Amino acid sequence: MSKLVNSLTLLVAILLAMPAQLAAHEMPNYGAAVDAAVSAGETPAQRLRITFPYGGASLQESFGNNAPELRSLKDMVRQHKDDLIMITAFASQEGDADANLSLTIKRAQSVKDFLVGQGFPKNQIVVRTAGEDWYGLKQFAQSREFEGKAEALRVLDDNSLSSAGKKSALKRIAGGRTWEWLVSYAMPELRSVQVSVFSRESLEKFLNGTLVQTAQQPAPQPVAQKPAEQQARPKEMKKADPKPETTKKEQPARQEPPKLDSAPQTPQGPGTGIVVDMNGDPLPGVAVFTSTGAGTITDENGSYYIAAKKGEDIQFSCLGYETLTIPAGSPALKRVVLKDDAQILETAVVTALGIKRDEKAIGYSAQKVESDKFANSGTTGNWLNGISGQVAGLNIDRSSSPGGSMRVTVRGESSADLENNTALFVVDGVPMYNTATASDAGGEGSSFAIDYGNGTADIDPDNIESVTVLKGAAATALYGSQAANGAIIITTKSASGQDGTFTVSFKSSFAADVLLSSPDLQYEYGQGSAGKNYYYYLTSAEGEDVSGVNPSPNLTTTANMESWGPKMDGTEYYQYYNEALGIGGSYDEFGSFIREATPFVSYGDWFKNFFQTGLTFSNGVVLTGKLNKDNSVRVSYTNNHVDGIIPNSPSQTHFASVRTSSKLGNWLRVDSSINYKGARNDNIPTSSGYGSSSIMYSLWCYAPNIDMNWASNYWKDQDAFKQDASLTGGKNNAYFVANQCINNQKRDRIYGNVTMKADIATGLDLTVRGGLDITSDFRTQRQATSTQAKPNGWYREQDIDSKQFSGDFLLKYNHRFASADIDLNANVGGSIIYRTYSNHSQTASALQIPGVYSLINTSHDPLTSNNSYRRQTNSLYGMLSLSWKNAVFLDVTGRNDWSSTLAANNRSFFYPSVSGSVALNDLFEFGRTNGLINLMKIRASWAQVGNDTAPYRVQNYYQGTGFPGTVALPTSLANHNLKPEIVSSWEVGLELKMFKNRFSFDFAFYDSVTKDLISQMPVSYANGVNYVFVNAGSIRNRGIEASIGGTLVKTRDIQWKVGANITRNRNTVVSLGDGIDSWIVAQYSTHAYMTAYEGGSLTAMYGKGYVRAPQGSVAIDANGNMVDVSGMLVLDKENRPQTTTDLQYLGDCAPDLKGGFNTTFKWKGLTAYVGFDGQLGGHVFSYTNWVLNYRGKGTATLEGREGGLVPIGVRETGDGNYVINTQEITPENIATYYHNKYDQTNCEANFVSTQFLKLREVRLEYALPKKLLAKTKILSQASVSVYGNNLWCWSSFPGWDPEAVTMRGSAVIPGFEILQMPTTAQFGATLNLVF
Amino acid sequence: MEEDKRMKKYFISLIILMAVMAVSLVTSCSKFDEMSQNPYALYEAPAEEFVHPIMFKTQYNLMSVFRSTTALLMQYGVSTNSEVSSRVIDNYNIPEGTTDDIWSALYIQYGDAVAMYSKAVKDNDAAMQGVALILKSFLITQISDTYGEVPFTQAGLLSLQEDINSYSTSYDTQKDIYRAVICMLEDANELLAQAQADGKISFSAVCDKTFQGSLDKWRRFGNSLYARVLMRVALKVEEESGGRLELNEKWEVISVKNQLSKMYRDFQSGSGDYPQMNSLSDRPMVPFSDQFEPEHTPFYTITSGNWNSLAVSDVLTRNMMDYTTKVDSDGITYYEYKPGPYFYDDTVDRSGHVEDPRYDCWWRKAYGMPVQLTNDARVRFLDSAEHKSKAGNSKIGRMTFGVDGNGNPSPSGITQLIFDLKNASQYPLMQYSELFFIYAEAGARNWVPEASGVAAYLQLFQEGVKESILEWRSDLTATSQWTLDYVNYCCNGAKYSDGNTFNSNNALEAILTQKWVSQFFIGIESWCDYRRTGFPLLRTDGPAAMNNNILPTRMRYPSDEAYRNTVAYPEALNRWLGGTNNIVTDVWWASTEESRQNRLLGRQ
Repeated sequence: MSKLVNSLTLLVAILLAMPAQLAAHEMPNYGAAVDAAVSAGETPAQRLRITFPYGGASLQESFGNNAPELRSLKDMVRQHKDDLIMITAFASQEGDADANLSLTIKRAQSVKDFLVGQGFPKNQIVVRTAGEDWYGLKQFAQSREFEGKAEALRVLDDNSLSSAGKKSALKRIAGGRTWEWLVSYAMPELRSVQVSVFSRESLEKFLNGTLVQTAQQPAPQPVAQKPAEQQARPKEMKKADPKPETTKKEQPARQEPPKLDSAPQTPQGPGTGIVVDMNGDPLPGVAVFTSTGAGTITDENGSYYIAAKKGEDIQFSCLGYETLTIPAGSPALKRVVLKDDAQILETAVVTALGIKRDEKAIGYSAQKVESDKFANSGTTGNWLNGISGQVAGLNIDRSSSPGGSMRVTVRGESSADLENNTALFVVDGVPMYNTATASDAGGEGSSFAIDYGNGTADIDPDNIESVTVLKGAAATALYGSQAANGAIIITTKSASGQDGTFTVSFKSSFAADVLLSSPDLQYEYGQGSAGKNYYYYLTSAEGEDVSGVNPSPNLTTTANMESWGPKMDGTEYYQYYNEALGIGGSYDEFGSFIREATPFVSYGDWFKNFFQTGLTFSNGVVLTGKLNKDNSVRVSYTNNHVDGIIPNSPSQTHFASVRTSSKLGNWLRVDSSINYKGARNDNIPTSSGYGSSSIMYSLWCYAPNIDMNWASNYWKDQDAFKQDASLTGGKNNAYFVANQCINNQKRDRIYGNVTMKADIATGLDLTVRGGLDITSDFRTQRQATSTQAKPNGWYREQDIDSKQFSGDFLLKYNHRFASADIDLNANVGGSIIYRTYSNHSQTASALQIPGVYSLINTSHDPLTSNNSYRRQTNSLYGMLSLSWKNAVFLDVTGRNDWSSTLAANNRSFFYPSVSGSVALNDLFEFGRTNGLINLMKIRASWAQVGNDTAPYRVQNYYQGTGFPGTVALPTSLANHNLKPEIVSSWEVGLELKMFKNRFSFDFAFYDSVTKDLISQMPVSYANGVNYVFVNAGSIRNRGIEASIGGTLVKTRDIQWKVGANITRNRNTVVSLGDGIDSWIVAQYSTHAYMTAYEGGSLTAMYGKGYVRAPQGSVAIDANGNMVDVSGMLVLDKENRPQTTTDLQYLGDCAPDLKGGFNTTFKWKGLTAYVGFDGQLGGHVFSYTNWVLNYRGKGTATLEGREGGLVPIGVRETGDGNYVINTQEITPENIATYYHNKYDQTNCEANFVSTQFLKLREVRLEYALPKKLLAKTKILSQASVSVYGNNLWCWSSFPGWDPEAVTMRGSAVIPGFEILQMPTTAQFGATLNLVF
Repeated sequence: MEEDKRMKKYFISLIILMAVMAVSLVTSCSKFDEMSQNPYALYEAPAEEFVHPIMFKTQYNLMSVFRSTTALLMQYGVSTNSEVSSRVIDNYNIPEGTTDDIWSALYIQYGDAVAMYSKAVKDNDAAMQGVALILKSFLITQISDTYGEVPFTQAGLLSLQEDINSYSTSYDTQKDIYRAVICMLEDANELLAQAQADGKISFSAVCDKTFQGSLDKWRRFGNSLYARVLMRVALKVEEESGGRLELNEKWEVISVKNQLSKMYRDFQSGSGDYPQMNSLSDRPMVPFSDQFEPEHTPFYTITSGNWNSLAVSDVLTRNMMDYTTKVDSDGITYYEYKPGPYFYDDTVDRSGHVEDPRYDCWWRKAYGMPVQLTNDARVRFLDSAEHKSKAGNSKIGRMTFGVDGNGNPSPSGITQLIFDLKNASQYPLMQYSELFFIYAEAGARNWVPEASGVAAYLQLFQEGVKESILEWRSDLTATSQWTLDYVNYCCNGAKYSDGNTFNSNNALEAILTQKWVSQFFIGIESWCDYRRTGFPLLRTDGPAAMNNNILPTRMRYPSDEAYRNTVAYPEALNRWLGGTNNIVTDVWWASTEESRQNRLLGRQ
């Protein structure tokens, strides 16, 4: 008899151990007795059956036939007060096996509660939960005629298949119709609890017999039949074995308890022994079956006795442990060791176009990230924070603004246009249309911008079910040009997978952002300019001596953005004064305010004093309803309130989503999802960047001798709207910028789709989807009157709208050539994506009335600026997948795109891919059964993806100029020959899962070449334009990715998992087109360049360096010896380092190696998670480094301030020779020495390493025990967690955060750190409740 | 069940219908053609629409270059800034990349001018061809004057090409560029005369905010530029080929001297074949506004800190007022200035002298700072007892000025006149006074017979000074006492390097020194005159001077040209710069013996 039957009837949940044990005290081990009786074919005295609705576990009297059954049950309770009642609970096969098992526990519990409520003794109830009723299903299937019956029975009999395996096999039959039939007709019957009564007397004999036998047994050791062979090739044996059960059509009806087909007899090969866990501790409550359906459970000592015939298998199963099958008669039966169940094998992966594939069937790299990784993301502003360090090959560049933009690249920079290299985001099958619009703060936009965030943050992390990262071109070949740089497939949560009918969950988080780290700032010397040995403050505008205010001597103010001032040793100087605040002076006897000299001391860290603790409150509620098995709905709402670390920068975000799933008839299913995000940002300060409007620009002008409370009083003359900028040496007051130069944003985004899935004919189904993605963004920007950039005030309103309409269809055909063991899937699809974008802005470039921000208040006609585009891509594509023996897989795809952005003759382009994988473990049996290797897959793929370009690059036009009625050429020239760029890549990989999935390993090697790069090639200005769009050159990315994961410890209470991944990508510019040997990919002013040279890397950085003595230079030292001075700094006339005039290679901004490591430790309900990630190599041109040292703010500038220093280097003697410098830089000249040493244009001086290791995330979560929760009656889950993000960073980077680059225009451009904002460590706590 | 099946049929038919529609959409691309046009761009526009943006952006950049570069190089001012890698220009330690603006900004305008010309040719629009040629000539001479040999014949053509095969733009010699410029200016003169003869007097004033579309003023501007161009090359052509310059097939050969003479006659008459600027109102005044973002001056956002970082140099002050020489406690020579009775500052002695009326427009204190001091000396100088009071508190000199409520000049910042440069409403691209100085020089060099007597060129010299005063001081007239006093001072009061007042021996120095003063805020013009003639005499070997004590003779090509123009750039470097992008090689028209000798005279 099949093991199936056993699993039905006697799969035992841990829960059962308790009642069984309790019963043992008063009525020794009735559980065992009942089991023995059942296995011996004992008929219960009475039996009845309660049915349950889909997913339901509560007893409903009105449901089905329950009313009469429950009446009978009440009678039964009265009649059999002394007897035993056995409850066996079942579930249908819809959904996840684990969920179903827990559902049966609930069902059993509700019947038990009912019985106890009726006064039946608790200890006379034996509960058995069987999980999914495969036996019942088979019974039903055998008794009816339906499409695909033979195939279905074959699957149901195939014991090599897991529950999930059977389900997916059943779903494949007849295009899913067989499954649908079973769901409709068989499964309602399976959702039931069977209540059987056994008379006490009849049980006694079994009870005694069992106890006697168990007690007697040192197990008899019958010689097993060919145990070795069976061990070695159990699977094959199973396949070869003509299954006896397939012939047993006369199986008793399901209502009959499972029993042997022959009468109980003395077992020929009894199995008896003890079941223990890995630690050798006895395991009670383990279900033991024979393949004929007989079964028992182990007692509290882990002992069991079971009768089994030779040739039968005995299966041991227990929740939380792997299921083990041992042939009857094997010596191994004596002491059975059950291993902890490793993590459940995630077999399904969502691939391109939302096609779910078995993991082993795909021939490319696709890495899945589960929703728990986003647990902390709710308060970090962007769910992508959760993915950091989790996925090999993924790189995230982030702006330093809190909650700011993120740039995601997969497997390196594939195109010379850095803004074009980001991955595609796909939500529930529809590509997101993420636009980013720069808003310069009025003319200085290239070096800084207001970071309005990009679309990546528009996904509510709490809605994410899972994320799959499709890395190579083969993975994304079906997504086409948008996904040429990888795709990130996001699946949102729906209600369909859940159990229960209706749940409400509530999540509340609170987080605080604090500045933990700091650059090495010096706190010894105050503000002041070079060479002044005193400090003197005077408001910058007036020099005139207003009686009583200006002390004598009337010196020049030294309040200055640089910190070369005197030592803060308490010497008294005339410092900042403010009569209104009573600072810096006092009143004399005539009532005049007289300035006084006060001690010059450090007030500590001005940065920390400026920034406040950021606070984030996040509250979310989710309602899920499973109305019936065909219709479900999930509604969620999350609200985030953030008070940023910059004063006066509050923001609110609202996330709402509705997901429904409905079945309309047997062949049509409609799913829909609608998501909304609303952002209300009261002020997004221009935080980072080098330009007078940026907060960091202002902050770097302060010094520790300033009490930031002085600066916070930012008005000089509030009535005239004049700021007090005197403490910054004339630059904007940082508090003034934060409080008066306000940029706000109201942004609404709605995206969603409706998907229809229809079964058209056998093996043929059709999916049709329509998607919509609409963003509306209204921004206002203010530059207050008296700011440096806009002294007359400035105001802008901007309306930005983007819309995407998309439609696609996918026709799937499935056919199985059973004889050849070949499965064929053919998919044909097409899509249309239409996008529009518009940006309309109006600017008042000067304000008539200061401080009034309205376009009416402009002193001139408002300046308007408009731009918009429309674009459309039509595509047709197809995929053919073949699998052989479910072990060898081959995919071939082809796609043709028509893009409106290309010239007519190049509009249509085609690209193919082919990929394959072989699951070696399925092809050659090497030890799956003993749990050594669960998956060994090798994969290989080759693919091409075409990539179009942005609109309006193929036809020359004239653009407006800001002056009415005039035109000018655009700065980038169009090119009507532009053709799509093509990414060709190949990839090989190995995937290994071992030890029952407790160890996993994935390795990939890829090589990808982008040719015909569409780039904005810089050409000589002499051409009259700055750039020309061209197809030129090719870039190769080649790399390896490896990830490894393992469960180190797993017991019932303790689980310890680790995971790690590592990536190395090497980028090479293969060619740059005819006659071109380099081009500038990005640059910052003339200080630093990212320049691509043939043979070099796209992200190589160039800039000016120090003038050094050439190779072979010698000098005479003090002792008259010749010394080799090659490479030493050549100092100038005034003994200062010099900067070269030509550019040199300085290093690469891309890291050599990136990796992440994380570990999870679980102890009962407590989970601890720690994640690290980091990189080796990598550099950046750092303006923070420059400002630290050039302005004397950093500790590196302390040397020589007193007593001077002798710079190391040589000087030219004028005749081509060198002398080693012995001349001193005096303290008066120390500032100019450092000015030269850290020259703004000296890239080498400010080129710093970004190598780092970060403690990215620590999380401690406690889930309240279910038992406890059950008492509350209403709560089903409750957990609290505390966490920290970005807690520590080990790095030699001089600023705050080696990762945080700065927003440039609308893009986050790597390689240049232009006065980044401090990044914070976040501490948070979350409460999660499910009702 | 039946219902289900019927629905299914409908559904399938619907899908087939949709599929057919989708296929027809995919295969018909006519919508794509429509979609590929930018709705906020023009695909056709008349040539005249290019004019104002070119004029504005050119002037914007030249003003900016004056303040950042020419002002320091030509010793109008001295940098006192400690923030930026300061004093690199003053001390000739000019790294690559600091002086790219003329190249990167003006070539873009040049590209537009080329596109404009091509459009005008296509439209057979003589007037716009003429204007475009003047713009091209102006732009390319500014670029070539700055860098020397630059791309010209292949420059700006990319937008006209159907198929782009090469992005390399080869460099032309400066001589060839000037030959071509002379031809273009001749053509422009002819075309504009033709257009006017054909009845076209003007074009849209909206497109030309400088001359309101007046073709007459454009023609006068073009010919004034022609005079400048001729003077620029005259010395070199004289030295190289006896004054004869071969042009193209149409214009054959000219004698520079003869051409200058001819033009001088027309200048005097105000008409003729080569009408030139005839009054202040003919100046190309490019409008600016502090109220409208596109029209802001380049100094709009400048702060007092930045503004004050440029102090007036003692070289300029000495040429604008009387002084006595002193030595401070540090041993540094400085000057005590003697402004005249009109000077606003009554804390200084104002008896018996007259100061340049323009000084008040530019600087606040009767003060001057020595050039090329080492950092040490600079700090001590600024802090020394002798200068601290002069300097006030950090306000050493400023280029803003206002008038008080009574209309008297005042430093208080009340800005009612255009003196406030930061918020100026217009700036001249070229000064009317420049023509007087050009012809005065030509007279003094005996090139123009009508102006060759001392009296004649002294007259022109005086006119030049007078017109320059009027250019800056709209509150004065030609007959104002102050004007007369100062013009008189220039001739009879001010002493030149030979210790004498204006006479025939020092006439060239006097003329070019006053021309230098008058070219305040005019792009790079005074730097060109210095390289061409060696005047004014400037000290180039101060204690902090670098570059072998040579005032840079050209600017380095932009640092990214090596990347952007990979083939032609190295060729150019090797052809005339000895392989290095240096700042000591003379450009063609400056490489004369006279110029070199005079430049050395400055190192007293």
